Amino acid sequence: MAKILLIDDDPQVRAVLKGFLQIGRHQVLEAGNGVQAKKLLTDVQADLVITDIVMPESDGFEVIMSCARKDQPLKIIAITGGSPNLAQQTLLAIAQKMPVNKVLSKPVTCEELLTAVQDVLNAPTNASLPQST
Amino acid sequence: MFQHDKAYNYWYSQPVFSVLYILWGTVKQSSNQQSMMPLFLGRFLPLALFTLLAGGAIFLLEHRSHLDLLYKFGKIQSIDEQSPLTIALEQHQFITIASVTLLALIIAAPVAWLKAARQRRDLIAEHQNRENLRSIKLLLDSTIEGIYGTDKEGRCILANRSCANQLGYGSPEQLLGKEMHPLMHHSHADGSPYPASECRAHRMVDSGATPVLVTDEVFWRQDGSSFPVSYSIHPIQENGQIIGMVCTFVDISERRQLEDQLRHAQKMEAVGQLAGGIAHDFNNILQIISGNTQILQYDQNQQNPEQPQLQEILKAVERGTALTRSMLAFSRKQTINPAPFELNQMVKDSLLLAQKLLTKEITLQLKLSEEALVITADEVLLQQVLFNLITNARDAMPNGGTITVATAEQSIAENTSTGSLQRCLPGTYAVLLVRDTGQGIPEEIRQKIFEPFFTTKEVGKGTGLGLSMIYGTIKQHGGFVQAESAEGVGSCFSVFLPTVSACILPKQHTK
Repeated sequence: MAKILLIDDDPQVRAVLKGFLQIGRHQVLEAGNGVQAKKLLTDVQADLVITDIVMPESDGFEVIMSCARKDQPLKIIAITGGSPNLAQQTLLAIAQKMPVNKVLSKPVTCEELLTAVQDVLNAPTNASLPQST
Repeated sequence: MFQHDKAYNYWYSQPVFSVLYILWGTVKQSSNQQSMMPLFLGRFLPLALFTLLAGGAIFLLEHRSHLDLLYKFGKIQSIDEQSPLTIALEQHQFITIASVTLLALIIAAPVAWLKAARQRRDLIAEHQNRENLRSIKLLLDSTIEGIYGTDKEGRCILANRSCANQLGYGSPEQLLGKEMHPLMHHSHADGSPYPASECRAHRMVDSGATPVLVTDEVFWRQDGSSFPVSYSIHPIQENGQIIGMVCTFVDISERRQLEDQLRHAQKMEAVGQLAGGIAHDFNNILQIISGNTQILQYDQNQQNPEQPQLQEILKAVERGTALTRSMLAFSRKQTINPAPFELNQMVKDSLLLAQKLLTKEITLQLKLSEEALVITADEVLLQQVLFNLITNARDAMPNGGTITVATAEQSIAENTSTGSLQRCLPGTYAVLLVRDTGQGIPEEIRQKIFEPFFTTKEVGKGTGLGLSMIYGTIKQHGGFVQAESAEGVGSCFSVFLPTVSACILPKQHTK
């Protein structure tokens, strides 16, 4: 059982992913965008962040970068369904080049998500990114 | 030599000779290019000859009648007598008649000169007119536009070469005098009759309407075929009266074809953008449906492990996911991972999987080229293209038949201008061809087969994205697709992909 922060702007999608994670008996924290996620992370220590990429206000890329800059970088799974301007494949390709542990594309099955979560949690801790000046 | 020079100088120094020389020079100069002299002589010489002959005849008659008189009055003994009187009379008569003749000649000369000058002026004007006509004809015959003029009754009074050529006649003269409307404007594009009374060109002569430009009609050739045309008509006016009209036209078949291609490309582009735009929301929606279904499945699993309805929902989501992927592939936004590979090997590798798509009634034939066909493409996508074409071929033959998968190498020359070959870069292409022996594609829908969501399959059996996906993918690879079909014989889809050498070719051209 792990404490997982789930970030997605669509409440219905969030509910579904939360349901999946609860089936895997994980504790789930929710955020609707990157700004809310940052606030939550100052108070709570999460084991893993699952984030959507295209979101209003602070998007998934910002979340990924800010998590990676921490002294103890968080493990991240990025999940995307594409955007009106960029294709899903392009977004996935970008996300893969960022400091994330796993990239998934929507729609994701319960099994896929839980396997990915397990894989990432079992992986060794991320190395910290150099602080930007 | 010395003597000759001396003689020349002597003659040249004589005033009479100088005057004659100067006069001759003036005549020569005024005659301009010596054409005046023959004209003058042509008129003056007969006149002079006639005057001289008349003078001589008068002299003889006069002389004879005077001698008769002298003889009657007994002044001479015989008519043939030579006396001082007869000699004096003869001399007197000669001088008188010679003077009159000379006077007549002197009067005749300037008259002949004036007449010659007038004739020369006319000749020059006529020559200029002929030259003008020749240049006008040359100019008219050198235009791409067909031009013809008609009189008030609509009969052809003038036509240029392009007009004759476009209407399928050997020479413009064949059109002269013919009524143009029944000849080449008798029917609408759909074949329905086009009465002269409705023809704007015809009405113009009667009503004096303003010039018009028409771009939505057809002209008919001599062989009975027609071509889309853009024509303009203007009235021919003389002294404020309309005496006919002139029509200028161009065959716009090629322009139409390009417009159609452009419209088609724009439509595909728009649908592609739309697909990319909705894919994000669509994926979220699918996530919500599938996710909730899976959660429901999990919750109820303990009591009722068999949940066929929930399973159906998940199957539907899978179809939806496949549809979004196809739409994105078509929108050309899918990233491709091109790498060089050998086409024949790919076809051979795909064969086992392709066999699984087919029923027992269908035979799969391979005709691979002997030479290796190296192309740079996304192997997985191209395999999808092949499967898609094989599936289509299978569906076209519900009662069984033969599917032929062939490969070949084809060179496309720089000046190829037929069909879809005209817009591709010249070079060597690898061709992947899938032919079936099915029912064929009717002509009227062949234009639409590459359009997204166009399908002839029953609702639920096909998304109508297969061929458009192929179109998008192949386009993205710098190739193109050709479809040939004959009803009842079968269809053949050829995918052209540049071979590695063809990719390099365009760069060589720019050198």
